[in-house]
Amino acid sequence: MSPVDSPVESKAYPGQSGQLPEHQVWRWFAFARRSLGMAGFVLNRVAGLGLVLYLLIHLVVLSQLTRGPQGWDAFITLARSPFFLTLDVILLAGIIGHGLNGLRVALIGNGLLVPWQRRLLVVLAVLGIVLWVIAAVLIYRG
Amino acid sequence: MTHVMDTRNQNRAGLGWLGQAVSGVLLLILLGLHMIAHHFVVKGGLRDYQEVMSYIGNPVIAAIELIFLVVVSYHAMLGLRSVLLDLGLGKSQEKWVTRSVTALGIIMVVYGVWLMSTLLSRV
Amino acid sequence: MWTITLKIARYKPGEARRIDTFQVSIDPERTILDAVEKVWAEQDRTLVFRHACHHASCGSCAMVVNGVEVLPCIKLIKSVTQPDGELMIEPLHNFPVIADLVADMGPFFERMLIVGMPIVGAADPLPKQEAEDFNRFDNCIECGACLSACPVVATDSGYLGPAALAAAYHQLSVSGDSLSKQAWDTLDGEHGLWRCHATFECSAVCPSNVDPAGKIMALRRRMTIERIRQMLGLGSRSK
Repeated sequence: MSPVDSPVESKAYPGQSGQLPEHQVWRWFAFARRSLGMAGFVLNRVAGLGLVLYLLIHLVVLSQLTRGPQGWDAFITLARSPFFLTLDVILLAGIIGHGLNGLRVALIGNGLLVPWQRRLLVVLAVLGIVLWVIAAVLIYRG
Repeated sequence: MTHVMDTRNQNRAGLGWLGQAVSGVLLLILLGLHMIAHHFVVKGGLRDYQEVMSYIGNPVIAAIELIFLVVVSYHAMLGLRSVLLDLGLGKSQEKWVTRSVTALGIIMVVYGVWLMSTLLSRV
Repeated sequence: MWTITLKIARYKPGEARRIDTFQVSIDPERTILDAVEKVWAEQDRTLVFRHACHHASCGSCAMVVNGVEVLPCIKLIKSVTQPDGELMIEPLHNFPVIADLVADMGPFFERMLIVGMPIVGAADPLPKQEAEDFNRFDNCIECGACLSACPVVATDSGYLGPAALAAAYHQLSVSGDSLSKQAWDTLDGEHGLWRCHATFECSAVCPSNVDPAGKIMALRRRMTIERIRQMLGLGSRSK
């Protein structure tokens, strides 16, 4: 799709398409050698999509509550296993990362604190890592 | 010529962006409360059946959880739509994406309301 | 003198794309463009690349070096590699490639046209007064690096992109002009201002201090404030 008519034959170079290449989804994840903002974008996108999937799974799992104590408590026993706790720690990294970078994008994207966007990212990243480590310790300690 | 600041001419894309930002900030609070209440003040980090039922038996809690569900569903579906729209789809495909995520969001909320009312009937 | 390896992306219409490798002996105080020209002069006369001013004011030589957009005419060899180092040189991303390192800049200028940037056609003599209407005093040298770096442009060819959005900001905020209905609908639509995801990669690679991301956010700020004012019944601040 072009903002003008699509497809557009290049006027200067007949036979060449005037279209930009499209659907290069791998470029969403090409953050090597790029700015911190690009790393934040990749983190937000990956975590966001993961969280949508998690949300759907979480809602389905909650239906176990309708089976009463037998259904739910059996799930809780499973959820306390080291494997599930590790999944929870990974989930938490996604939540904290997406949340704090999202806060940065919400501020910047409405034109607030724009000159300090890089510093804001660094501060929120450090805060996020500290919160995550504390929460991970609490999760594993039960 | 159209003046940029005449909001009668503003399109819905900006409203969607504002909604995403506002719902995101709300979620920092709502999700934070949700995580603390369910995992960080409970012994063992997870509520068993009896603990869940006594928790949601409080009508204020039930209301907050439903508001949380609405906000998180809105934010999630708008975010999913944004990612899909980044793919450079055609106009009719975009319409289908919007309809699909809206439908999924409604299903999620309706399901949540059904689940909450089912559980509350057993409290 | 350093001996460095240049891996250059090659393409001619009708041929498959490939990477050609060249060894170049060059003073590290010279620029990447000097190295590319040396390859053309001494090793491969079929190498096609665009260059003009050699001092970062025309924007025509922009290319991707080691994955990042640069103006090779001002980028010193020693700033991007070391002795026996390697440079991967490609044309700008997200543009059709005419040949080798030359991108078709048509899509760039089509976007500028949408936001009302006047572009003088070839051999259009204009009276002096009219010609002044076509002057655009802005830092942008229209090199295309920002569009190449933008991850949204990579997947959404309908996205207006950083350069046009920054140009629109300039039109509206500096020049005090308005936009046509078509320009406005595109700017404020799903593939305009609101498609940006704040990676700030465009501002990071811009060789000319345009800060397109900053301008996009500034425009968003104005529009969001106006929207909130209208919602609260405080009236518009627009003239």
